[in-house]
Amino acid sequence: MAVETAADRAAMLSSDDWGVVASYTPVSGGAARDVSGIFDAQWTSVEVGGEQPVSSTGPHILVATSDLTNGGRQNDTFVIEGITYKASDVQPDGTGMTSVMLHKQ
Amino acid sequence: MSHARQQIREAVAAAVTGLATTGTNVFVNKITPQEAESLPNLLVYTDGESSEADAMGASRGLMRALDVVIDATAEGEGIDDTLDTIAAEVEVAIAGDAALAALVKDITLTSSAVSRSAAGQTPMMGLRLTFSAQYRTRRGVPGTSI
Repeated sequence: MAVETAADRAAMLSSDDWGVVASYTPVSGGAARDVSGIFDAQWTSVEVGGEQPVSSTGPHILVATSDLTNGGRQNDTFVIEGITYKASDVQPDGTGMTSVMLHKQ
Repeated sequence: MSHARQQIREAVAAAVTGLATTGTNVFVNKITPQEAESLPNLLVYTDGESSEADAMGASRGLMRALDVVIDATAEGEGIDDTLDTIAAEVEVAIAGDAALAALVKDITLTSSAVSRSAAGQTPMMGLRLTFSAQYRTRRGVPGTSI
């Protein structure tokens, strides 16, 4: 049984607190719609096989799984604070929340 | 006088600076992480070297085989094609550089290795080009390629 209720999740993701409103367009089609989520783009080190890694960021957004079409798919589009991203990986936590890894377009 | 190995490294870096795709984003012996803003880029290193006496007596020659490593890194869509374009530009530049040719007997591409990652803000790929540079010095005179 999930610890949070839908109301708990909505409160956590609210733009009144840590959340942002993203414009979400599923890759399977359909109009863009707003979803709330917690966005982060923390530094990360990317290994690309060479002598030195690339100093980059790992943008991702945490959303309610129920807000995503089919639970979210790779190449779903998110526009967050004017920047367009595509989902590179969809990582559900199994309790109603999903972290979507993003690539800048 | 600098070691011939350094001269070769510098000549390689000069040869691959200003190429169409990577431009002046060329870094020699870089020991800090790459900045994403510098992509696409090239990192130039000299790696291991083997050597063997090839003459006795007065000439006392030493034949050397130096691994020259060029790491190419690119990001975004179509990076496979971008890296292959970079590889073509680098191979042509290395083969056609007169200053480098004056330092080495031969320089040959010995391996190309590709790596991919989706961990960053964009898809990224790396291509490691390893060249073997054959050059000769007299023993005890490492600064002069003969």
